[in-house]
Amino acid sequence: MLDLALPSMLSPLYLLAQEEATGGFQLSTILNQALNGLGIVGILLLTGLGLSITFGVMRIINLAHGEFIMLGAYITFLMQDVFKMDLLLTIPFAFLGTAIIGAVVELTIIRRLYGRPLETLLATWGLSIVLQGVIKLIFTAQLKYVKSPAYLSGNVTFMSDPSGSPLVAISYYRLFIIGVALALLGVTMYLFYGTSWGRQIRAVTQNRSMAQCLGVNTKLVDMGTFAYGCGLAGVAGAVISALKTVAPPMGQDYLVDAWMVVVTGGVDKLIGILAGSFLIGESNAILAFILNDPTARVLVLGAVIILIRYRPEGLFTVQKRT
Amino acid sequence: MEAVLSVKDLNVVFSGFKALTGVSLDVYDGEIVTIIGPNGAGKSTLLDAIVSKSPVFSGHIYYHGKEITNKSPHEVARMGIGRKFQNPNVYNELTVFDNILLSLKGTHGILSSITSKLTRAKKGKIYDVLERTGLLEQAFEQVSSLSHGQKQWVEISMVLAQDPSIVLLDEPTAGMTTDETYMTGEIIKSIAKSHSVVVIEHDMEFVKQIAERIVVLHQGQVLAEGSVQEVQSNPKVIEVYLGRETINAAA
Amino acid sequence: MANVVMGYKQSTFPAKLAVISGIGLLIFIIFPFVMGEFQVSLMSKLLLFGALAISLDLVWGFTGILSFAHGIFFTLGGYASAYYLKLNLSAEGNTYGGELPDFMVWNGLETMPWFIAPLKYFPVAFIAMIAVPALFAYVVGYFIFRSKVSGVYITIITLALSSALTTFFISQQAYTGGTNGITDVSKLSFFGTAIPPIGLYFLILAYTAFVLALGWWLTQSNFGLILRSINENENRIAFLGYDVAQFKIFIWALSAGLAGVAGGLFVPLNRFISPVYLAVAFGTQVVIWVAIGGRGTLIGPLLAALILGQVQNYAEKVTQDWQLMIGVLLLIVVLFVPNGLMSLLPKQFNLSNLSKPKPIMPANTVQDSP
Repeated sequence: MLDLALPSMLSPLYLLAQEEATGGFQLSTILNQALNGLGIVGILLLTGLGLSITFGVMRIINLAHGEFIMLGAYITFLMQDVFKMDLLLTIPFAFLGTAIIGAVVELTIIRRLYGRPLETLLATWGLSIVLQGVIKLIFTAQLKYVKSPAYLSGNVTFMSDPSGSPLVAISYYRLFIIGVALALLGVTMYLFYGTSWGRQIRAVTQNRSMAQCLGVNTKLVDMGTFAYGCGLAGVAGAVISALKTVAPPMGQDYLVDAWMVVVTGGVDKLIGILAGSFLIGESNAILAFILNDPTARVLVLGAVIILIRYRPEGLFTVQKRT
Repeated sequence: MEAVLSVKDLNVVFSGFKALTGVSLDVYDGEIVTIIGPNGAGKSTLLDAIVSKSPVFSGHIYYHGKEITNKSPHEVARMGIGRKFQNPNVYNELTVFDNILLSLKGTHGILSSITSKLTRAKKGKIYDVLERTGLLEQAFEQVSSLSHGQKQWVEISMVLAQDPSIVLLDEPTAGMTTDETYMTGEIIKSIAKSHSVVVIEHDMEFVKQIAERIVVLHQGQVLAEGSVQEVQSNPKVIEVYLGRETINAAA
Repeated sequence: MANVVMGYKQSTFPAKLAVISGIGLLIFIIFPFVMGEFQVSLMSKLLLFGALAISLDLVWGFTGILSFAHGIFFTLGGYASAYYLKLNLSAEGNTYGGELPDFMVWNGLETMPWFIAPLKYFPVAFIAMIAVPALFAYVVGYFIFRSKVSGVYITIITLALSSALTTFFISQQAYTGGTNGITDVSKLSFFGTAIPPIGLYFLILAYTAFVLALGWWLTQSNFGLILRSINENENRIAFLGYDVAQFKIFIWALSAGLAGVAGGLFVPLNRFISPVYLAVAFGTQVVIWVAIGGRGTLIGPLLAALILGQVQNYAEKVTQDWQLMIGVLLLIVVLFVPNGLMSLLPKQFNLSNLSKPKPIMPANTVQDSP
């Protein structure tokens, strides 16, 4: 038999939407569902952000994006296992570790394939298989567990029923994810629109040869940008590692969703990813509430396909002269 | 006499930018119309609009009296309008022969393309076209191995093989040597014996060689129209071209 | 030289190609008589994967549409055939003795759904095996190819499609058997006699040979020339009068139909079908066979599927890391052998060259033509 796992068939999207299902069509259930949706939005934003750099800005078709998330999760696991580190403290290591691997990948693989998107797609798929294989060699295929910090456990309760059990609540950890995602988005936007490094990146992506003439070290900019995108994926992995088990194929779960978010939001502006995550996350949560989880996922994916058909540049992109 | 191609009050807009404003143009059977104008005047855009490469915002394009505005490119091509692009837009990985074979009139359906045989008549037609453009020797070479000028001729051959009743040529002599340019002029004149031709050109020497009627475009509008002499002595044209070497050299 | 007309040879079946394919076919005919039962069954499976890879080569290698959705077409054909075999289980073969398949009973269905019932009859199932994937591909193709979407975005759509369909098939347990799919199907029989493994092998061999021959025939015609032109520059060819979308939709649906039959033949061999084959991972396998074998060569993807499958069979006895090796191989091919392993063969052995008629310079023949 072929060694075929069934990745992405039970996406985290709707597994996460399933918790705290309460009966009855009440205001509290709707609110709860909306909050669940927000939790999903946070995860989508976090996992999609790195891709919005590597694909959105650099136009690299990176199918190994999920594996960089996985690498970040493993770095966190390793730091926690060996040095008994708090999860929060492992985040910088996850960022640096995956960014370095990203830089090496750019140097050895991606650089040779600029301007050939389909080849890049194949190569990054090969890379994704290799990364999974290498991690499996080192850590075995066994599931690993990462502990979330004690101070992030528990829920914020907005509404309770008379007996005191929460009706509308969101866990601190979900809020933490949303916070990290928004903070990273803010930092990234500052880097891109407020620093000279960001100006160089934009110059290179808009007119490579002109940027070169103006003295921009395009190779260094390419490498740095790709590494940064991978680093963001690593942070996503570190933060998400506590939510679910860590295993070599885990990245696959996030790949399709991250792509959908980036494509929906549009690649023109970084802020598009926020809109993309919000749309996909909330519509998924609401549809799951009205219908059921798998149907919601099928409908959302269908809607994204239709969106790509009519607006391949995404919802929030200005149409340009061709 | 009815025009082969008739453009009426054409407007083309790219996200707010008016590329063409109220352009009208008639092309009659067997004539050569040369379009000149500074960069960005909308010359290529006009051809793009005719072959449905760019969407028409308002206005009409008629071909033999039938409206073809915003039809699909393949429909326009099948009706008999052939287009050569500014940079040679040819199939580099195919042989010259295959490029022409692909362009031949009449095998555009799926079934016909699967079952069609390379008949003597087809080959005759292909060699005919290649002989007219002087590419017979290179028939079985890959296009990628040809010079820039030869690639221009490959594309002209492709347009000829389509057997269109009107040929639109966008800078057919770009990147050619003087000799090649002259030869291209002669090819175009021979084409005009059996087709109407619209040519976009920069090179005034070349324009003088082939031109019968000249249309000057400027900022998306028709600035002047007439023979070489008329256009050259037109004060508006002189103003637009003031200090431009091409017109000075030509004048 | 009767078939040389004005310097260009008529495209008849080249002698060298005939000899090579004859030898190849002979090897595969002798194969089951020399090898054991396990090898026969393995080779049957690999031949089907080869046929699937050839069908993808038609749309990707020749036309330039990279699809991760070919697993979907394969699986749709597979389900059609699985319903047929499941519904034809004899009453005692069925766990519950009734007409209804076991997975439907488990999921609380009481009557046979109307859209599955007709698949009990062979002609219906046979047509469905081809028509369902082809029609599905036609609808999807009509939707995506008649738009300005191209290249990478098409590929992303196929990824999303694969993901959506996997979720859908898993969620419709009562009709599809959910994650497990349709298992314990009956053997394929011919007028009441079950076809033995060797019979199935020859059926599959015949089908794979048919797909290869069809692919060759299509791609050496003018049609193939048009596909290659679409691949190189789809914008230009529209201005020559070709309806590019029509050609894309046609080859896409045809390829889906071919993949569907491969899936249909896979079920009697494999004895089950499940959403595993719908998922992105399987779609990727097909892409890998084509990439490693060589795009646009037809024979390359087939050989890659056969050889990689055989090597995998042996490698998995000694190592757990077969996938890692495939990943490394894929990376090496993409970076250093972009046209696939077939391109490493010396020119005169290159099968795709063999199938092209050799042109004779027209200079010496044109003059004496009228």
